[in-house]
Amino acid sequence: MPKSDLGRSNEPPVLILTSLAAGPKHGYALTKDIEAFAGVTLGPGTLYGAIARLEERGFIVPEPAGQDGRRRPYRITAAGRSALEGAVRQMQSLAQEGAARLGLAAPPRVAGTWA
Amino acid sequence: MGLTTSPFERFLRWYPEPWRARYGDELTALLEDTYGPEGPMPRRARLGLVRSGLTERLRAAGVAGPLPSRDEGRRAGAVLVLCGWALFVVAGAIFGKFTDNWSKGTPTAGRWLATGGYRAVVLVGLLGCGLVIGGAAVTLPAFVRFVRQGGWPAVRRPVVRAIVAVLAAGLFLAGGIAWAHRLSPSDRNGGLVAYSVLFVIVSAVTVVALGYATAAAVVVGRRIELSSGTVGALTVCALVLGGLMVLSCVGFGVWWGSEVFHGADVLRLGIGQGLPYASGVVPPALVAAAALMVIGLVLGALGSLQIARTRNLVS
Repeated sequence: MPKSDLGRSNEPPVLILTSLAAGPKHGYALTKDIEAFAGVTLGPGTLYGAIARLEERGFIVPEPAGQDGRRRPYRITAAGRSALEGAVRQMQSLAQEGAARLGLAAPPRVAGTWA
Repeated sequence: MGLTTSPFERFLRWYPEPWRARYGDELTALLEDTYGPEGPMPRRARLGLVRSGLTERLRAAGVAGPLPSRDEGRRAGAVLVLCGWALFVVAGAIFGKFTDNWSKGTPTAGRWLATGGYRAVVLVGLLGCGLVIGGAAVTLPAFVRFVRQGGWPAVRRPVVRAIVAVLAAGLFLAGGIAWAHRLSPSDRNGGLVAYSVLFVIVSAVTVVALGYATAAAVVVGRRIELSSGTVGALTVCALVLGGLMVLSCVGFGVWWGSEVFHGADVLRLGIGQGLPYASGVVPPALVAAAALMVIGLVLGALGSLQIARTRNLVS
């Protein structure tokens, strides 16, 4: 199985990129969105550590800050989408394998070009 | 950082300065949004910030995370080794004080091994200090260039602080040594309370000065522009210094081990005698010196590993 360079599905980089795939968000909006779709609460230190790493790697870029200049939204880049796609493929492959071994119905495929 | 003051900003001190400059305002805004403008912040979140801040500092020092370039990695490794050596200097000072006149308390027949260990520690200490001074001399032209190009404000505070502390320590040391020469060995080793108090003050001032000097070296070392040749020379110095640390530990261990068998009185009468946890062969002063050496050795090993990690990188 190809290894995703973002880490496991529940790791902050994957969660942040997944959240940003739906549109730009600042720190607080990211935290709330991730809580809503993954049930995971990222601590402020963890969130900004991951944001710094993702920005370093060119997976996200900052947008102009809001009125107060302190709440800066982030946007996913093409490289970030590609990395997230790799991570999602890996998760899908694992889910399919697990479902097959348990005799469950295969989960629906994520829209895209992968097999 | 913005002009706003927030109770959360003190937690940002755990992060390195460049990180704070880039993300500090955003993180503070997130903390205010999450916990309200005045907090309080749960303990778990506070600990998370401390952990993340320290992680960022390790990354900034080049210990963790990807290395930007070969020279940056080597420089970061050399800085770590230097920090480890600073601890060795303190340990060496403790050892030096503890071993004051040690040979008089050790029978001649059992002295040769301890003498070898003792001389190794002294020689390594001199060589190491010489290397550090040599390393500083190698970087001096780059430092002067940096200052001429307007970089002084960025390093003024730690450098001035270090100079003042080193001068103060020098004055205290000179005064203490001048006084010590007029005292008997008994007075110098706890017999005279005033001298003991002065000794503690001199030791504290010296340790603080050493800490400030190391901190200044780290700050300057990160900011000045160094050629690949200079970084290479510093790398060699750092690796040799790491080796000297190992030798120093061996010498220290040999001296201690030999004295356990041949000069137990020296250990029993050294600093720390009478403390509840002291024993004839495990005096607290030597334990403290050994602990500092171990921490210094760990830093030295991390720095050397860091340098080794840069082998396949481009400059």
